Amino acid sequence: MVVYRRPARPRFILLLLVLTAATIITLDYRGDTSGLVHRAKVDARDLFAPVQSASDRVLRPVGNFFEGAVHYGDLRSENARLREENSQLRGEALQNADAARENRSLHDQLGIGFAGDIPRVYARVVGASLSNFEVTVQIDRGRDGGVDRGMAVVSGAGLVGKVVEAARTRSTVLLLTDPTFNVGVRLAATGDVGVAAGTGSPSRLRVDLVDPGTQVNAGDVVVTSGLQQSAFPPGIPVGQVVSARLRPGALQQDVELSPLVDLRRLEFLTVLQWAPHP
Amino acid sequence: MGTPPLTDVTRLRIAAVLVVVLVLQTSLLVRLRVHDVHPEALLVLALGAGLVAGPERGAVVGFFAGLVADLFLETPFGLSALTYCLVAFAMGSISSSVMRSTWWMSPLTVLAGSALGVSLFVLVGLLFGQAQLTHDHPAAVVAVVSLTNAALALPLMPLVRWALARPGPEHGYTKTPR
Repeated sequence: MVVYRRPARPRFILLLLVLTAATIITLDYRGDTSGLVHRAKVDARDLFAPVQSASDRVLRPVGNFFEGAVHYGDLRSENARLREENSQLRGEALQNADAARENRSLHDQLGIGFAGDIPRVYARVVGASLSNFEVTVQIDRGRDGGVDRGMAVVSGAGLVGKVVEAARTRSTVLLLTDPTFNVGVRLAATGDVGVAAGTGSPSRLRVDLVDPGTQVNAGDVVVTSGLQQSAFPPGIPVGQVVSARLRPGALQQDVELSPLVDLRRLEFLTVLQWAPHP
Repeated sequence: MGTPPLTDVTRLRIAAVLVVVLVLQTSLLVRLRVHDVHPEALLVLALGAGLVAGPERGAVVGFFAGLVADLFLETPFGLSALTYCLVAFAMGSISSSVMRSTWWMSPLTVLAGSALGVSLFVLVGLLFGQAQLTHDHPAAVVAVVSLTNAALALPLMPLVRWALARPGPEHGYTKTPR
C-alpha cells in the first residue's frame, strides 16, 4: 500500500516567505525602512521609465483598439451627448461671453486667480496605477524637471491631485478621487469651509465638516481653501455640488461633489511648484 | 524528495517573463478597464507558476512577482508579495492533487485564485491599516479581476510553462511505500 505524504520543504519555504514579507510590511508600515523602500521604488521607476516609454509607443495603438472595443457603447452615447451639447453651447455663446467677463471681474475682486503666478511644470500622463485600489497616474516629469512630493497638480478645469512620489524622470500623482485624498475646501458662494475627500469613484467626492446652517445648493462651485498649512494653494476649483442633505440630528451636512476635471481622460497636466507657508 | 533546484537558465527565463508581464501590465492592461477595474497580470503569473511548477516554486515566483508589483504601488511594501506567494502556494497545492489536466483547468483555477488573491490583498491590507481598500467597490474589483484574469490565463500560461519546466505530476508530493 502507498500513502501520499506532503513533504515539509514547501511549507518551510512558504513560512520563510511569509515571515519575510510580514517583516518587510511591518518595517515599511512603521517607517523604519522608509529611506530604503523609497530609494528602491524611485530607482525601479527610473530604471523602468525608458522601457515603459518604448513599450507604450509600440503598444498604444493596440491599447487604443481594445479600449475602443471595451468602451464602444460608452463612446457612441458620449458622441451623441456631445453633439447635443455642442448645439446648445452655440446658442449660449453670446450669453456666456458676458458671464465670463463678469466672472473674471469677480475673480479679480475676490483675489481667486486660479494658480496665479505660481511657477509650474507641464507634464504628460504616461501611465495608470498597477493597482485597482489606488487612483493614481504616472507623469513624464520628475525631480529633474522640478517636480517634488506634495506638489499640487491641476488641469485647465481645476484640481487633479498631488504628487506622492517623484523619481528622477517620472512622478506618481494621487488623484483627488482616491479614498486617501483629502483637501481643505471652501464653498465659493458662501465662503464656508470643509474637507473634500475621495471616495474611490471617478465621479464623486465627499465633503465633510460642512456646518448644518450653511446654505448649499446643487451646482455650487467648491474651491481649495488654502488655509494655513494647507497642501494646496487657495482658489483652485475642485468640484461642483451634486447633492446636499442634512439628516435629522446630524452635526454636519452630507455634501457630494462631482470633480470639475474629467479624471478618466487625463492627458496633459500642470504641476504647481508651490509649498505651503509655514 | 522536494522540488529540484532552479537552473540559471530557468531563473533568467522567469526574470524575462516577469519583465514582459510588467511591460504588458503597465502599457496595455491598465487601459483595458471594465467598470474602472483592470486585469492583474502579475497575479496571473504567480498563480500560473503555482499551477505549472507546484506550491514551492509557485510561492517563490509569487513572492518576487508581488515584490515587483509593490515597487510601483503606494500600499505598504511587501503586501502584494505576501498575498501572491500565499495564493500561488494554495493553487500549486490544489493542482498537485488534480491528476487530469484539461485546457479549461488553467482559466478556471486562475479565476478562483484571483478572487482569493484580491480578497486576501484587501483583508491583509486592512490588518495593516489600509482602510481605503474597502472603499467604493471591492466586490466589483474581485469579480472583474477574476474574470479578466481567467481570460488572460489563456495567452499567458504558455509563457509561464516556457519559463518553468514542469518537473512531473508528483511535483508537490512524494510517494513513500509503507
